[in-house]
Amino acid sequence: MKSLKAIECDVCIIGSGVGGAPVASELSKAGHKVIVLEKGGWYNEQDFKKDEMLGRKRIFRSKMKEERHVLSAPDGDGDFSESTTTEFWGGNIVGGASNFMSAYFHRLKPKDFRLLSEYGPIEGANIADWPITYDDMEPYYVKAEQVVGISGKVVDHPFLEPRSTPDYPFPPTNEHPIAKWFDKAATKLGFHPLPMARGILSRPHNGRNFCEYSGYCGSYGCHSGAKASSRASLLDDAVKNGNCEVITHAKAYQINTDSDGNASSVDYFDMNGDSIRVKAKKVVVACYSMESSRMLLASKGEKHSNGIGNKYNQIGKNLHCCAGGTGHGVFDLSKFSELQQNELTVRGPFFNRFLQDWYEINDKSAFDKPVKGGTIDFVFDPPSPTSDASESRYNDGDLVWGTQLKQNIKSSFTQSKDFKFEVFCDWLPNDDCYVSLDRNEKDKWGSPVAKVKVGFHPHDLKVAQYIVDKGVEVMKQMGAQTAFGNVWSDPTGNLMAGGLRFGNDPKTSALDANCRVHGTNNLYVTDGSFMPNGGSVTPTFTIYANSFRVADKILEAM
Amino acid sequence: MKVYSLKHRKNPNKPKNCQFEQHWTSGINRREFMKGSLALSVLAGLSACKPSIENKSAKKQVKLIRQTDRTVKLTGRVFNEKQLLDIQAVSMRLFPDDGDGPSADDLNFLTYLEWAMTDEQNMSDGDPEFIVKGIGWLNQFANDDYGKDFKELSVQKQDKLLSTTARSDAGERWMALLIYYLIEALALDPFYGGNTDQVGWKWLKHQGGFPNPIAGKTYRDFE
Repeated sequence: MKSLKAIECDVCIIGSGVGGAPVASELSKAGHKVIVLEKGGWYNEQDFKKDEMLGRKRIFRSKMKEERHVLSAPDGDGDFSESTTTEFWGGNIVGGASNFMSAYFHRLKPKDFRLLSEYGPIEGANIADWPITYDDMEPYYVKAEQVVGISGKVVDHPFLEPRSTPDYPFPPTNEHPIAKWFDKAATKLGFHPLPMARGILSRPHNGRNFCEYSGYCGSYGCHSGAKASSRASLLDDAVKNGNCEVITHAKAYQINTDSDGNASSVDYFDMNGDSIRVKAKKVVVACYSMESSRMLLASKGEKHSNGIGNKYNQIGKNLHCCAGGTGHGVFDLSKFSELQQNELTVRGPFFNRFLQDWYEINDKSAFDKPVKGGTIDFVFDPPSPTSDASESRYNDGDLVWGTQLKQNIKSSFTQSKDFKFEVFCDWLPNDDCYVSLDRNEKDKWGSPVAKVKVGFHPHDLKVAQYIVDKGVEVMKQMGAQTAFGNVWSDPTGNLMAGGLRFGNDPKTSALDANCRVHGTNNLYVTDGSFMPNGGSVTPTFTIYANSFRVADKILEAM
Repeated sequence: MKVYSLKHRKNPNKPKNCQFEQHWTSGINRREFMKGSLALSVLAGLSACKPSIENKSAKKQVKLIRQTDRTVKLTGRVFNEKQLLDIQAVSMRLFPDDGDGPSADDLNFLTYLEWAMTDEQNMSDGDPEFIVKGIGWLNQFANDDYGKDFKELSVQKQDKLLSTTARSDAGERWMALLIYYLIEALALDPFYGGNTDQVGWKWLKHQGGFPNPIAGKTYRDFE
């Protein structure tokens, strides 16, 4: 490694995903010179074929031999066991993991911003109110809906969050026939069936096509440009305005600080392994929760001997991993009419339904006081016929082969239809869930990897189970011959957040209300790290909104 | 996240054959492989022998191999002709022509397998050597029991030998590895060489996505 050169800009952003791209877009539009450092390459719609091998071979994602995480997880016996994993790498590519998201877009609700005040403390959990209110964020939800293109339909329900606009800017994407089955069943049970908002275009927008409904969504990159990845929705445009440069294959490894403790530059390795320095007036970190914590912990300076902003040991703390569970309804096709079978087996349009009747649980038979609940999304898994067929290889743990194997596979594909739901709850932040630098493992550039400890609070499982049971109830009412669900205590690898939560007190938070690292005046974090709690939904929409909000704060400070 | 729906926990991984290989060559798990109905005398007879795998001709160009009703040209880059015929015989028991759905031959399995064996990860996992080694052992047992190579046996005897193999951890992993690749030949996009004319997808009533992979945009072009 040798240091070749230094380049200069107004704002250097580490990471091109949903956290970094809004800042790049807004600041460059305002005339400021922006450099985005992205570890992966630039790929677009023409590269995204509906090819199961891209996922099976972890194309566009980091490989174990190059970089990994050390995962310290509960072993079930009251202790923690360690392993290395790649499960937290969501997208080594311009646009990051948003290229491969399903894009179920929910806003948080006012009470999510005041979790401690609304529901009180829970022993063993580090719950905190946010330093801003829902009203502060609301205009930016609206902005994100319009700019990145969110489709949906607002329907009134008991937990609908306040909105300053009557509806989403784009109508809902096409619905699968099962949605009508769902509406009927949920209504019969007294629930409120709701159409899901998606970060997927139902109409052309800003040079992007609407969805092609191939049925290969989620983990498949989008071929039409309909999916609101930060590359398709923001960076494609931003690089055309002349002020935004995205440097690909640039692995940022260190933020340098000056004698006042403020960020002065970012060092990265280019694809040849040479170290290059980017001098900037403002630095923005947005590399996914544990990686942003790792970046600050690894960057030491005169005023930051313990890592940037880590005077009170808050960097990496209060990580959360999205609690919840999943469930299935399996429909035996032989029990349905030909018309019904045709409806059940349609491929292309989306299920697009969710329930939030238990966003707050007020049920004395289960909890002695009202508690924060969660959301059930009814979804399709991305098709993966090879992986699906592989599940038929074993009967009760024994390998099957020959005609039995063929019949297992055929039956699972043609005799039934499996519909899925996913439950999202808060993963309560706690002292056993945090990021640190591992002492032994290093990545291919020689930097210590992040060690991720994922202790969970038992309250999460209780809440999740309550809601999973409701999902099972719905599946049965819809006519599923088999319905079941499970709660998770392991982390949801693509929905990690926190680690650098924002707050007013530097002793209990890492960032201030504007997502600026405590102890600096020009270093910001705009990925999901800022969230004290994840809300009971996927956090992507809120990360988009918050990044637009922080972009305004940075603009004010330029 | 099969990479993923949000909370997907399926495990499409292939069996850990590296571990299998260690077991296999250690001699200890040969016992595991053999446990079941094979006579102990067979074990005793083999105990002093190391597996003998003929690899010298592996790079030889292989001739045409007759597959049921058509002829397929194989590259011979990985397996020699004899090995391919042996693998074909095993694959046709693992995924037989049983009147319901495509057989291994219909899926163009041998061609697919040879191509898959040129994948960097599969090579580094030691899959080609492992498959060859397994064929060697199977033939050895077939000869010890019946005096013929596996492919020369009746299907009843072939199935009996495979049943025995599947009862040991090591043998099961070897068969599971072949099944792993058989399933890829069944369900991957036909562009990759298996699933000829979508015969697998049609049987399973699976609708592929679009656009399909094309030359220059396969997974290997991005590695």
